[in-house]
Amino acid sequence: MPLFDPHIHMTSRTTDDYQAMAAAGIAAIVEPAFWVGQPRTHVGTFEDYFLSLLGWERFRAQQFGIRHFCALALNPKEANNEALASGVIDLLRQYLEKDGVVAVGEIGYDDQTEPEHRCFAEQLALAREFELPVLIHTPHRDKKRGTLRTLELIKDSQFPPELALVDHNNEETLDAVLHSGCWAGHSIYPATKMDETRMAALVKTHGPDRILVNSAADWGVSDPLKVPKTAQAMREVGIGESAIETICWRNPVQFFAQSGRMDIALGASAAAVDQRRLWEGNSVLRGQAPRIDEPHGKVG
Amino acid sequence: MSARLSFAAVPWFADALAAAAQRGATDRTFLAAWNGMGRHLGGAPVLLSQTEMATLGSEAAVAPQRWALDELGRAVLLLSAMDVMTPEQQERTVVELFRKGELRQQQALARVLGYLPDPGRFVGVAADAIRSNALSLLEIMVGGNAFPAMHLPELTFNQMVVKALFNDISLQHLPGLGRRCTSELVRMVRAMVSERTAAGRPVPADVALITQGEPDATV
Repeated sequence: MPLFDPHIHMTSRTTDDYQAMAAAGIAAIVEPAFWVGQPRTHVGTFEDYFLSLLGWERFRAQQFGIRHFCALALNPKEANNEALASGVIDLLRQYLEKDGVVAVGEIGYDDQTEPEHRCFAEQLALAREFELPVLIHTPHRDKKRGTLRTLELIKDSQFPPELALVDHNNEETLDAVLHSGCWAGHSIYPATKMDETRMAALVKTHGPDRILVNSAADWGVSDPLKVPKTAQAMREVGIGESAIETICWRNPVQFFAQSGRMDIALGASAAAVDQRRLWEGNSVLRGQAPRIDEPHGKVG
Repeated sequence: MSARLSFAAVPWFADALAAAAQRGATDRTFLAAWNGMGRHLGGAPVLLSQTEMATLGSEAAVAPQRWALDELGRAVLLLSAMDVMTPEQQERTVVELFRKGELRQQQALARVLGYLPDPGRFVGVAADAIRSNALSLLEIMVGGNAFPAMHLPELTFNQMVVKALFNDISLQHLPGLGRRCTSELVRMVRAMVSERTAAGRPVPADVALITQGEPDATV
């Protein structure tokens, strides 16, 4: 079965990760725009970042047989720099129409400040305007309240819940998110957020409907193989293959396909690899022999 | 301070302070000294003896334990420059130095915030230090630093406390924690305990400082 990681920050990862992900069955990913570890101080830096998500990173993924889609947004943490925020939101208008942009994200609350609230609401409106789903970050601190405020804002803005993926859920937030009609993401982390065993237990009680899992792997201690590892953990507690496929493939495809820009079928296999291709003269190869799959071949 | 400097660093530091006291932070001499402080002074901890603490008396607050020499050097340099600058220049300088600062420089700023003229102007810099992923900045904000309790708005203060708990950074030495312990902070910390318990994860011991309310126990 192909696997989908609907939230991973590949610009922070290596080609070793791409190889391991492809070998473990990951065939498609969504990379949301996020916080790069330290604050950016110019709108132009965001523009180059958006361009790298749309260009170089998509090409890099393809070289390993992985379909790369992205979500673009001003993340909640940097929404607090008010001098920057409006410039980045203006910039989004030029980029949200592009192919391969399947959502507005990550948006949401972090410290739950006023500027965060304003940028969150503005970007929900942008998503309506550009007919895109949204990928919503929920805070690490004061999570339950932040998640409830998120659901409230979605409701108050009359944003269609079926177009909202509320991420980083845990035992205390999942019921409310599912009840709201939104989709529920879970970031499986080595130590914090959620782990494979807890996730399998949640699926046992809640079933697979509107549930997604992701690695949220980035520049910190994280693991880009958490989706296959969680699939295995679910298998080990007796969750059926069909439910696992719903969570790890069908749900993310269905959710992001609402953008009208995800040209992969539910039953698709991985993309063919041709490492002879260059992107603006660049190759991911450093002297190795290029890997070339037959067209539409299965990555093994 | 000069007792702890190397022989060669003493005149260098004296010159830098003199230039700053004359021309503020607006010329290249200041930036050269600000940027070169680590190379000239080194980063050894400034551990004051009992006698020195007693000699300094009330001034000891400006040179507390745990500061490194380069951090203290930058703090003193900045304070010297502040005296000859307009309030607008002061504000712009501190914000810019933080924005363009590397970690040691930002650490020095996080430590000196409370000693700057009209320190309440710099809550934005403090919020950025707290929001940073470099946890040494958060450690400085909650480690014997009087600025947060005196100046931070409630939400920023509460986020700082909860972030420290999340990252297992001790709150034992946060001055004024008892005084700033509102029902909202207690609610946030209790929510964190509930979330950790639901996840089967350990709860940091310092939550008791908030949930059991020890008024002013940490001052």
